[in-house]
Amino acid sequence: MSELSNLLPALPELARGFAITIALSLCAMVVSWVVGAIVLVVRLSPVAPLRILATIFISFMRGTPALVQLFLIFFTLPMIGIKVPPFVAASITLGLNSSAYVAEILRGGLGSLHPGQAEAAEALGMRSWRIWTRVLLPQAVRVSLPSITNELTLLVKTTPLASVVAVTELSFAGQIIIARTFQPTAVLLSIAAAFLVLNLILTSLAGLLERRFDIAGDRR
Amino acid sequence: MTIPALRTEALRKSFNGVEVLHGIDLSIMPGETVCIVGASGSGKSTFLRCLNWLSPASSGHVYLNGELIGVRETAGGSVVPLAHKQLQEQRQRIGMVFQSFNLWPHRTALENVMEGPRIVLNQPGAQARATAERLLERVGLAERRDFYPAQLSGGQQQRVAIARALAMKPEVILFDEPTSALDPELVGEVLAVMKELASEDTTMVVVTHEIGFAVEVADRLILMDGGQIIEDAPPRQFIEAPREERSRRFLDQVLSRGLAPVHTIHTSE
Amino acid sequence: MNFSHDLMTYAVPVLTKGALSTLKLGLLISVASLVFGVILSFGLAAPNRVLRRLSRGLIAAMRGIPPLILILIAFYVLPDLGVMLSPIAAGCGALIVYFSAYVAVAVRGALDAVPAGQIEAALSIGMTSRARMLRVIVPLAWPILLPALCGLLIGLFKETALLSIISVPELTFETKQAVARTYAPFEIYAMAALLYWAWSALLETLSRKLEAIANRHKNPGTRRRQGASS
Ligand SMILES: Nc1ncnc2c1ncn2[C@@H]1O[C@H](COP(=O)(O)OP(=O)(O)OP(=O)(O)O)[C@@H](O)[C@H]1O
Ligand SMILES: [Mg+2]
Repeated sequence: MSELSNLLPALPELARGFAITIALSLCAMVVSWVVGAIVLVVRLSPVAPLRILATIFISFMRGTPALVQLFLIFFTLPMIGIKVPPFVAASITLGLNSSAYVAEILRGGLGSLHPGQAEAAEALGMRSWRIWTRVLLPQAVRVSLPSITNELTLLVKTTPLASVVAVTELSFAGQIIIARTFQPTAVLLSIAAAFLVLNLILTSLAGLLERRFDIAGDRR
Repeated sequence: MTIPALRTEALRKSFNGVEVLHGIDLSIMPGETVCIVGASGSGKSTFLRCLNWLSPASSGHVYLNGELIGVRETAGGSVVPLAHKQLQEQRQRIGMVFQSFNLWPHRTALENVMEGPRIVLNQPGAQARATAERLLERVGLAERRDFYPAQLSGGQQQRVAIARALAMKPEVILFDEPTSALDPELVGEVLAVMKELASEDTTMVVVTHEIGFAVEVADRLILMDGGQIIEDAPPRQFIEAPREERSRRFLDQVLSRGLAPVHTIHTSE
Repeated sequence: MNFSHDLMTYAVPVLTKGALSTLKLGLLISVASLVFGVILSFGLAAPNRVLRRLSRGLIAAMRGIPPLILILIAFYVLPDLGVMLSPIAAGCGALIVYFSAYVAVAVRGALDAVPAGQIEAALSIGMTSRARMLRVIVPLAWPILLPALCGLLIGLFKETALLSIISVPELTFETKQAVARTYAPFEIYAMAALLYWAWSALLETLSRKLEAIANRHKNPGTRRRQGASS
């Protein structure tokens, strides 16, 4: 229990890390949803080269580790003269990574709305922007809400990767404290608990939302 | 006196404390075809599923040719559940045909029928195959033996399911609304097979809404209501002179819809 | 791209070594996760309530805690409790527990998705529980399980990159070393990414082939012309 009392002075540091974790999750989430929706539209576009590009993007993002993507973006952007703060680089990378999954989830959602996924894709590609934003995307989001929630918790679980580019989110704050106090047990278990609670809150909020939309009722 | 092929004694069944079968006594003699009719929720399926212990009775007994089903009596006189192995052996002797066919989708028609003889009765492959081919021929599906269930119509699937039940050479066959999931034009082909089985003195218990079939084929017609047997009589007598008021009401409802199924039997095949 | 001599002679062998190590670790973790995941899936449906609760709790924890944190816990906390593990053992152990939970959920879901009527049909002809499992439940659950499982395995190979953080010499770790030596981050990270990508694509193709085989009975060939329907 002496460990816990040693941990007390570090609490503000951990709290700050937790706040950064939440901020990072939110930023990455916004990126993933915006980019995900765009990638989906491009993926279903009638222009073949665009479609292929989107397919390659999705395949690459889903086929390589987020950690390697982060290194790739963080260390090579400065070489072509783009300076980005670590937090921004992490938000973008984690967001882009997740966007590929969001696009595929939404595509599945659209497919379940229309009979014959392939034909639907052809037909959908020619729809106007307004139909996309007013009709198709909201419906796709509605039916795929459970998968989107799941993807969101997975996104939250990738945020500790930002520690490798020195974003002082929760896990990096923890590692700093551990280096100073040599007491990993209490720190790491608290961090694990914090993530667990965050994700539990997320899933129960999503559960409420699903019940609001009566998604379960539609599905069975 | 012959022993009944199937007999129930004060059979009761509750789900979560709610009793849905209120003590049913029924004897079915070898070779008899008994049709059970009744409103939705009256307990017909539950009763049928107690007969082969798919759903164990809460109290009371089921006897198959004199042998207790699902339970055994100990020396001390108390009743305990039977070991899995013995229950499985008893179920081999009771065939069942389901409303939704329940053919195994990953096996062809022939494989579905062979499965019991091959896997349960451990017959050599060639023998099981010969049995299955003969049975498929008997239900008129010899040329469809290599088709998967997804490639067969509902009526064909149900006929395969009947062949699958027959392959175990059961002492009794239970049918739970075998034609309710079928398009009207496919009902006749299944009823025709069942009619033939009845004429060959197969012991059958058939839950059905096809009152025309029941009248034509059944030796006895039973009306269930509220978890009890209301009327149990030969079909002609049931229709012309039912003893119970509830039977009369049931008949009024059903007969107002006509006896169409009888015609389908005659026009098919 | 400017592939200097140094880059080619140094980086390629190092990355190859790392890739082989990632392959080995990934296979080990895959096999172990499959085994423990199946065991855990039975825990989820155990007759014993305590066992059921424990399984459910473990799975909820694994779904909520980032794998990196689990690796750090295995690496830093276990020694505190007197369990000394090498970085490889700690890291692999953490990932095995993590993925076992996901495998268990997938297996349970697939088993539960087998329609009750299919099992009743097996019961009604008197099949033993073993025959029911092998002849009916597993063949019907398999096509449902396969895509989920393949997705998990592809994810698993990618997550092995996390092991680099506790200095397990796998592909990402070797890549970082090579970058430190050659100062050519783009070329080397891109090479590493391509290696991961190629492996994922291979697994993806394999998984499609397997799915097609598992779903054969749903689209039987054109050989039988009559009555074909999807
Ligand atoms: N597994 C179960 N759990 C709880 N209640 C059940 C269960 N199975 C049946 N019941 C209840 O038992 C009663 C009888 O149902 P049963 O299915 O036997 O009726 P049925 O006569 O076959 O009706 P139908 O013509 O609709 O098939 C119903 O009130 C039903 O709700
Ligand atoms: Mg019923």
